[in-house]
Amino acid sequence: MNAEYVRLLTVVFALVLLAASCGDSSDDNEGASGSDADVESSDGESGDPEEGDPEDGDPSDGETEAGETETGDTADEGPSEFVDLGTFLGDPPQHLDPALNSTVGAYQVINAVYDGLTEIDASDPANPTIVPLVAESYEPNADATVWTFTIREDAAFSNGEAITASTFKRSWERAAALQGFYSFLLTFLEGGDAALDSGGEISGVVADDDARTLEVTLSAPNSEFDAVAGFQLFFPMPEEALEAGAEYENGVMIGNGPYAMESARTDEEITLVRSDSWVGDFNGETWDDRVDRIVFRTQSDPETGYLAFEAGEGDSANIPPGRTADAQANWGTTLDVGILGSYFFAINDRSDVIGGADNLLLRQAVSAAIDRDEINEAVFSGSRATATGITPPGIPGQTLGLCEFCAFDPDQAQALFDEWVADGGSLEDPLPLQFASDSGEEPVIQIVIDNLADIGIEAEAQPFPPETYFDELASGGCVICLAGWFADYPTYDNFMFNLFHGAALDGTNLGFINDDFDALVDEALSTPDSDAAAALFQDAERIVLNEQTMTVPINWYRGDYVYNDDEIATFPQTSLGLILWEQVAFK
Amino acid sequence: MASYVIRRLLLIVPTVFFAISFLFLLFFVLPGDPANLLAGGGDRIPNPIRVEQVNDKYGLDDPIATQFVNYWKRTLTWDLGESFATGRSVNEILGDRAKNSLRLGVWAIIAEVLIGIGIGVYSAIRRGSWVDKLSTVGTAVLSAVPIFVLGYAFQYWFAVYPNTHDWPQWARLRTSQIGPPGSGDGSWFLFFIPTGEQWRYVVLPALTMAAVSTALVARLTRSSMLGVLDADYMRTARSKGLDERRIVLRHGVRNAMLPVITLIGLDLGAVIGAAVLIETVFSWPGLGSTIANAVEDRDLPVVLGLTLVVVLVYSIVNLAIDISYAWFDPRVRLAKRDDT
Amino acid sequence: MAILDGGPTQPVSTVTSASDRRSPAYDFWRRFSRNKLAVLGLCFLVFLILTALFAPLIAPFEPRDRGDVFRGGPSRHNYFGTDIIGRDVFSRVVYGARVSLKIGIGATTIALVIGVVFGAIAGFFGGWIDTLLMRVTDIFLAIPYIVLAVAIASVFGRSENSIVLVLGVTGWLGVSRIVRSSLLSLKELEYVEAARSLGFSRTRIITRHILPNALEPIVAFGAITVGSAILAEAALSFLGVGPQDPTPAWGLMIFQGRGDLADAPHLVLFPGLAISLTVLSFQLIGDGLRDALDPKQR
Repeated sequence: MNAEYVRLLTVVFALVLLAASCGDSSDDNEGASGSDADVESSDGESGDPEEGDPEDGDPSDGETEAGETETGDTADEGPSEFVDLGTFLGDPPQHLDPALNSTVGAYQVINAVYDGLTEIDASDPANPTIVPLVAESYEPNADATVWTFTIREDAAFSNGEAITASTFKRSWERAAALQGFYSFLLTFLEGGDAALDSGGEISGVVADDDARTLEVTLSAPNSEFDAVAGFQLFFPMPEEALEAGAEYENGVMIGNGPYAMESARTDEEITLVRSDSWVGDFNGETWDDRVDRIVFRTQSDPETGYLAFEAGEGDSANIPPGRTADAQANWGTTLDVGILGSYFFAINDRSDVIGGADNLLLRQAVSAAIDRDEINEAVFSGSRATATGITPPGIPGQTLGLCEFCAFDPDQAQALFDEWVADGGSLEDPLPLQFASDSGEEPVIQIVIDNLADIGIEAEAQPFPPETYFDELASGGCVICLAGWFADYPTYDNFMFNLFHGAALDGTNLGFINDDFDALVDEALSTPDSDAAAALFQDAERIVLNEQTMTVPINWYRGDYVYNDDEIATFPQTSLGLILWEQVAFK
Repeated sequence: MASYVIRRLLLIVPTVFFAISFLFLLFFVLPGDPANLLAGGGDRIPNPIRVEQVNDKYGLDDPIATQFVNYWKRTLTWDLGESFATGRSVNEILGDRAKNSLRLGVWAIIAEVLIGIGIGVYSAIRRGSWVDKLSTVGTAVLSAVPIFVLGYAFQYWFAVYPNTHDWPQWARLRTSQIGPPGSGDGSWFLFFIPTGEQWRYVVLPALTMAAVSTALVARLTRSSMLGVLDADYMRTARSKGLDERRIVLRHGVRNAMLPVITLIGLDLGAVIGAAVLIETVFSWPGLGSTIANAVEDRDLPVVLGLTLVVVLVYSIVNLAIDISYAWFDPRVRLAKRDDT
Repeated sequence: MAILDGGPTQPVSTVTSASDRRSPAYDFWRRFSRNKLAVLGLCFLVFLILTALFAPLIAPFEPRDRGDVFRGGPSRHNYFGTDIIGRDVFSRVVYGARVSLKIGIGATTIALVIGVVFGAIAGFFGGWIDTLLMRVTDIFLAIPYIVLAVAIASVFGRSENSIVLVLGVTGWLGVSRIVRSSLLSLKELEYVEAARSLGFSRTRIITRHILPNALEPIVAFGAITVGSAILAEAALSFLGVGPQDPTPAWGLMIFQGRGDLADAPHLVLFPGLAISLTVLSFQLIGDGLRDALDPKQR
């Protein structure tokens, strides 16, 4: 090619680049705020810090907007924007509709956009209580079979549509029609079963708009229904959601919470703006400093998210286990918040290898042999809390130390194992420890294998591809399998019932059916007195942990967000893992 | 020539058909039921009612043959279906991701071509100089380092370190995403040119993606040029008294380009379809990572739809390369028999 | 990974002069050793093979042994430091040589075998067989490598063997093209005509005369492919379809350590160096082989 020609091309190319970078400032692609007064504006400097690559031409910005992501410091300088990098990691959320959603990530957004009948007051983390929210008051009847909620008079959606008792009834019927993952919760209501099968009304829900009451009759007594009623499935949805059905989440969703959607979600971002029509409040000092805009960005994994956070591209991120120490040293974290989640080995009672009454001693031996503190320290960098039971602290009625086999005691474990062998037990093949690969759990399994080897039990890792892991569990393929369970709502029965009751998922997957246990749980659910109920739940848990040892608890989750504490004053995470976005404030 | 081109274009059709069909059937061999995955969200045991719903909605219970036929009937009308996972139209997803992949790919190739060929030619002309030695070492090292390590290193040096050490804004680059928050699609001039702050987001991923290929291109150019510079016809040209620089540029470069073009062509395919690592490390939502995620989620419409486009593009690029051969080297006649 | 064409393939003259009495092997070695870098690469390869063979003697610990120090830096006790659950990185890197060599050589062997067979059939018979086979390779080339990799790993499990399979099955494409094009050009050469006219059987022509020459470009290509295969293992581990813990695969170790680049760089540094040096040496060897076999330099 002719040299002159090449030269000409280069000049033209450079001119075009110049034109592009200077000319386009009116496009306002700066997502961020104008409040970055103290960050120097990026005037065209031709110095590129990296190896001079011709493709960038001349980065002369005519922009007056400065570098964008050192977001707004002082709130009175214009709208403040919060960029979150820690909520959506990997895949973008599948569902944003409260009636369909089943993931914690999307729940973060939903919880900011919607308010339910009740909410959790966790100002005393050890004693969370349920308080009314959209319902101004509520009460159960004597045997906790009928709950009556009185709806606030001023409850309304951000588009002005009033929220009445009927709104709730219609929304719940919508949820029944949409058949989302959590729609089974509607079976708690009388008539819920029927509605799920064939659509139509839920007979147990009676709405009286004049009296502003919502009377809910349950299919079985449940003294903790107020907690359940605050769950996303029971959130109120506007008229347009009823018409749009399952498509609603693809557009701009209208809610009644502290934040509203600015635009339809994309796979990369979800943007929320402050809703000034929100009727809620909280007696916090940061009321006026609420963040104006929240941008949730999808990152491909926790490490990239944390890296981007460190590079100043976001205000919060998820803490990958290996970075715990670094996060604690340099930034603000929510590590001190106890999350209502449990990490444990589930055991299949139907397995010949380890299930059934004959193998009780083996299970107990396995449980006692595991060094939980070592797992916590090595794999999670101390960011978890070693478990002493399956139900985590923060659940009303929970108590510590229920498990007799959860303290690391190799002697006890050895004795139990020897006794089992003496009774005729033997392991022909190595014990398969099952888990989903690709989730960073391999080291946990390795430690457990070593622990078991110390008392003479040979074990091996049996990874499953994540895509088929839960299929395997569902079809009874579990022997002793690693699992995590997050509370949907903060009640004892969310752990007891959902994990171990005979009626949960028909008891098919893990085979544990114990009538005593079921009876205790049923009785606890129908006992309005919380102390009495707690005692019953604890007895039930003892059956699962000690008498039958159907589970080997490992640890309890703790908060996992890191935030830039140079810019952010408060960043509260609840025990359900939800961030209270209306209480997040810049300094 | 024209008949050759037409023949090749026509051949693309069966290629695409068999490639996609092969994938389609492969999916049925894979363990893991998409309905279960979708109903359960992959992290818990699925609700059987929901599983049934999903099966009904997408016809996943039908026999393979039926699904196959239905799939092709829809695809021929360019209806690529909906994602099993999010329900979004695959056409939409495709447009979105393809744009991102293209933009990144183009910049990577520009970097690769300019830097790689530049270094290669220079090293060949000034054989033995310190530049030559340095570039030999440098290119060797670059092509031996795993690319995501390079990516992380770049991210750390150019974005994280500057932030934790309070460098001024103008000196920093960005680690991930396509553009600043709230900028959605990013802001592009003439589709390919990043405006405003956008360029900070493009630099690192493009450079990383280009890194290994730049090394290869440089080495290949150099050895190719060396071969050409010594060739008889070059000696003839020199003996005729022509200016050295002109000789090099006119004859040398042109003839040395053949193998390099093949490499770049192959790269174009890799860049668009297989750039998964870069896209993951830099959270750049392109075709590669979308396809990889979709395979894991067993999201068949997305996998097939996006792969279809990738295969098409790749085939067309291949054809373009072959045609450009003829332009670069008049000795190469596009043979009666396909002679790639 | 960019499938690298082994360079411009030139038809090779096999007319050996009667005066050439020295054995071809000696000749070859002489030419190869002129390239200092290639020899360096070879030395490293030998070192690597020895490390792999004598791993239990060299490594102070087993790859699965755990100590008390987690993510510790290099020390007298642990030369390369320890990983997230206290395993000795040095021992794991040493044992990792076995994994990498197995993957690299295994994958390349499969790729070469399949590729040679395909390419030979296509090149020799020509005609419609050729067109058909080339279309088949086109189809496979067009499918994104990722999809195939994840799919195969899903079916055959995530382990070294899967990787070998994946890489082998995707790697043969380049090989077959090279074999095919050299065969195509070789067929036309005069000496083949001569041989045919002398009445040599087809098989004899193929095996005695054509194949050895067609295979020469592959030798260099093969060496480089081993390097690419080892790099690919790192990439596939990144995608989660490679060998799983506790296998001490270098790529997996890098993947596991990537989040700690700032605090504990040794987790990435040492396996990274191992991969880089190994790949580098294969590339150098490959270059050396190509130069040594290049007829222009004879």
